[in-house]
Amino acid sequence: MLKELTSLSGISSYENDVLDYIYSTVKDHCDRIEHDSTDNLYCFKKGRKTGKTVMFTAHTDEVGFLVSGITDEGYLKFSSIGIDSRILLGLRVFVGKNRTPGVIGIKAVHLTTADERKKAVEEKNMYIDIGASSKEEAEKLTEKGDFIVFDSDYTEFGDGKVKAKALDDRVGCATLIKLIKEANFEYDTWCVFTVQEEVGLRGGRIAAKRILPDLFIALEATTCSYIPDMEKGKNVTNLGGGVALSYMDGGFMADRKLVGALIERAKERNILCQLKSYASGGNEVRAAQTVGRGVIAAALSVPCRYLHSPLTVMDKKDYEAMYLLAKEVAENLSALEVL
Amino acid sequence: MELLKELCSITALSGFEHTGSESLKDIFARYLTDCSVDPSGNVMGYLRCGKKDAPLIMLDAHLDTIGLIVRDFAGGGFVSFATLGGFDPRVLPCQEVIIHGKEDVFGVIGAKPPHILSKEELKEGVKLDDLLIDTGLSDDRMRELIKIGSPISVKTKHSMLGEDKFCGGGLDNRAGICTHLLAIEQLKSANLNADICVVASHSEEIGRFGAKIAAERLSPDLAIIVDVTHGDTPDGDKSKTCVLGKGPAVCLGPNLNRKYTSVLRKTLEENNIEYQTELETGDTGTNAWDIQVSSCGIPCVLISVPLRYMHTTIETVSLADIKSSAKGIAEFIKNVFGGSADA
Amino acid sequence: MELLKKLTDAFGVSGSECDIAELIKGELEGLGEISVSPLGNVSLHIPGNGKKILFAAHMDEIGVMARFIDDNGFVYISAVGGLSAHTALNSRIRFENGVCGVLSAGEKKEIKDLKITDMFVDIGAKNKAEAESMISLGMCGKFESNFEISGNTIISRVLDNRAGCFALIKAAKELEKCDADIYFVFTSQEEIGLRGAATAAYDICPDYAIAVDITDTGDTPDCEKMAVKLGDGPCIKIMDKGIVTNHLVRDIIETAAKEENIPYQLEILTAGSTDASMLQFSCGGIKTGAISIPLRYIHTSSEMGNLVDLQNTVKLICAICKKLCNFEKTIDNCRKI
Repeated sequence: MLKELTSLSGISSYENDVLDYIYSTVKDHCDRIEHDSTDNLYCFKKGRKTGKTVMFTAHTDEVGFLVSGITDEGYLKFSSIGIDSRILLGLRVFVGKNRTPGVIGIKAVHLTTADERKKAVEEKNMYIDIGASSKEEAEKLTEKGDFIVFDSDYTEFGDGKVKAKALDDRVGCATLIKLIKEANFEYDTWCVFTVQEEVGLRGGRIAAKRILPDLFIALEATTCSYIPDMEKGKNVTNLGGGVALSYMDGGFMADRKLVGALIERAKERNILCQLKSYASGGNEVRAAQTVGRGVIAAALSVPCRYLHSPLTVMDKKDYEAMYLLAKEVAENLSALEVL
Repeated sequence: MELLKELCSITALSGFEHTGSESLKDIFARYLTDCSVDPSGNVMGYLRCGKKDAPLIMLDAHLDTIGLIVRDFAGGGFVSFATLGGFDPRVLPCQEVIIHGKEDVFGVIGAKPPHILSKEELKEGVKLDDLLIDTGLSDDRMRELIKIGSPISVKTKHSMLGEDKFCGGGLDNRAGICTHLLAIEQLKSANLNADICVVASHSEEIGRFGAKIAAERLSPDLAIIVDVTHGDTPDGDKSKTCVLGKGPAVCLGPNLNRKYTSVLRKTLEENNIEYQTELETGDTGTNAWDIQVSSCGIPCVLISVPLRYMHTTIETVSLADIKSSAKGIAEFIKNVFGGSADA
Repeated sequence: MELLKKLTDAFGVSGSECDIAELIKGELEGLGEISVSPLGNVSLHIPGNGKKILFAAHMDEIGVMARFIDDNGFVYISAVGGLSAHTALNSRIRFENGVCGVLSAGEKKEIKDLKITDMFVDIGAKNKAEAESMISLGMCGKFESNFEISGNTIISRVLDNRAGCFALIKAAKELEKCDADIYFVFTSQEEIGLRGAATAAYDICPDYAIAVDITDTGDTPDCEKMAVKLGDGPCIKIMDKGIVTNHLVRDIIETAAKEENIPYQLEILTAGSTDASMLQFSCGGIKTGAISIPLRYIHTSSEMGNLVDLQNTVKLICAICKKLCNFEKTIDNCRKI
């Protein structure tokens, strides 16, 4: 399932294919299924008990680009969503619904000066070559505002590792689908597949406002940096160290009691778990926490190297651990004593 | 052009819109019904279709214009100031201002004469902290008439440049309000299946507060936002500016609802209205960004009028662009929400 | 001043406000209905039949959080709230379990290159194992210093915003009986993005909201231009980065101050924001204002305030309530203009 999910295209605001796949997979397993005007998909599971409302989210969008213009010669100009422009040169991409192949080109190194090679190329000076020789030819295949995704296949390698694009956040989507199919929910739970997280937690905010849950859990991917950064904990997480939890991310605090209880529960149930060693990144907890009179919220994340690039890498152990801990919350929330 | 001039003559600075909201409400009353100023300061008016359970369309354009505010008294009849919204400090030296205190007080933002400036100073950009307003009054008289926090508008003229271009301060975003009112004029006799609420929202330039509040209260089914975007200038980046006279700029990107935006574009094409497109991958820098996530999520469409020299007293737009933006909005609404031809 | 000293001593790093919340709840005992929100806001409701007014003061403080312990037992931290690296350098830190340490950075580091992410707390542990037995990852730490009073000058840690909390508590105790419906809310997590305030008014929907916080002064050498001076009275906020306050509310506050002969100043702050910025959006829009207590050396371990400013702030809050009780008709008339 993860393989299929990561191969689908779902740039922020173009999540339809991913949402359609998810809908067809879960529709027979939900007590109710709805969507809103932004296309967030809400799947309701009745719980064994009443009295509390729980909400899980996983965002369906991935980072990518939008076509910002077509040059007279038929090259595409683009604008990225959430990507470090230094990784872009030489990449292969697919453009639009038809998956038109393209490459992010650059003039040959032989033709550069020493000064040029020292500086990073700015995105506004980059272009995508789809093999068209004129503007008219390119306009038959795409248009301004069209989406562009990385060309990167799902690959299992090394010792239990997976490489794919969009592990952020198809790992969350896959986990949530599995929960819907297999978990025996303690309380009424909304499992929401959200949109546009990468441009600013947009769908998540809207969904939380509609549901106003008592408890909110975001299922996410988080960063795992290079080995040399391990010295001062700047690697943030370790691959294989288990599902990652954090008290604090980029500028906001999760509910401390909830996070503490989750760490304890993971220990008791022998679920591999780690605490992020660096406050970084954002997730839907930030958006959901301040709706209504306030929501008790935290995030569970799968550590990933090379986040927001075509070759994001994760360890299957961590992915499995996230599912197990999420299932604990879904099935035994009251035992955590946080509500 | 007369309507635009009238709209620009209203003083409503960011955070101090209450000085002009009643005047705007009176203008609204010529086009709309149930006009009011809501408790937070948004000016609103309705065009109702009279049908039960009709969907609601919100037409938003921000009311406030940028300005200045008295920060402290600097002695000798001088006053230091801060900005309300993003003023380009480079255009401030040698501007005339009006400080709105107990009475309106005229002042000038002077500049040190070149004779006494060093070579280095001449090359440096203007710093806001170094600028002062000269009221020409004695300190006592000055303190009688104005106080810390008195809002200040920069004096401007409004006039035509050539045959089609209109120039003066405040076109950001009176051009937007004008567009909506002209659209309403064209919709008055249409047979619609939706109610329309025009909102002149406050505080856009200082944090987009008014639109957030209005959208939460109204919870519309669709929001059409009109603001301004950067017009073409010789020193501008062509990929980031729109051409004056080539029609409204329709915005594309995650902030805007794709289905409605593509219907808008089709409508413009069917009506032979020339338009341009802009792409924004994130925050469009307009009320649309906040309206989209207000209430339980509101589909948005954004149209921008190309404008040169934004946030100066010489903002310039093409009147033809405003007219075609208005027509585009009217035809789009007729297209989507029923409505036969004008009676 | 015992109360202010206790308030400034209490632990309340954003997100870990239990201690300060308990202290405040204890002080409010018997004054009205007390409740706690999911994000930790503490509210006191003094019921009445008149206009609803909400006063908010944040009770949290900036601090650090332990994120990583190296092999030699040095505890690397994340900033909780707006910490300035060079201000925090070599400060004393006390973790929530009482363990004390020094926040420092490599001796060879240049001040201008200092980053919070490179800073560590030295708790005197010989190695990682010893450090792990003393504190755990995720634990928060506050900046430690003594409370001093000299004449009217107060020097202490976290006058931002325990001074504001002090003013609300004292006002709640000294309030004259009136029919206004009053809420005093002590919000959480202001320093990390006005989080508590975003939810504070949700169930209340007051007619007016007034944030009570602190502001900078413009009376120290080489400082940012500002008309505010320490000792010249509480400030009526006109604007900061997050709000231009409602003119009606400003008028109410100014009139109340004039009528009760309370000295006041007018504040324009070009950097920084308070809970007021969030309150104005709640409930479809609330008329919001703010009162600020002038402070020097904000966000350091030695903030400086003025006792008389503090006392006048308490008087001003009471005067505002009194005005709202007795002059509703005036306000309604103002609204119609």
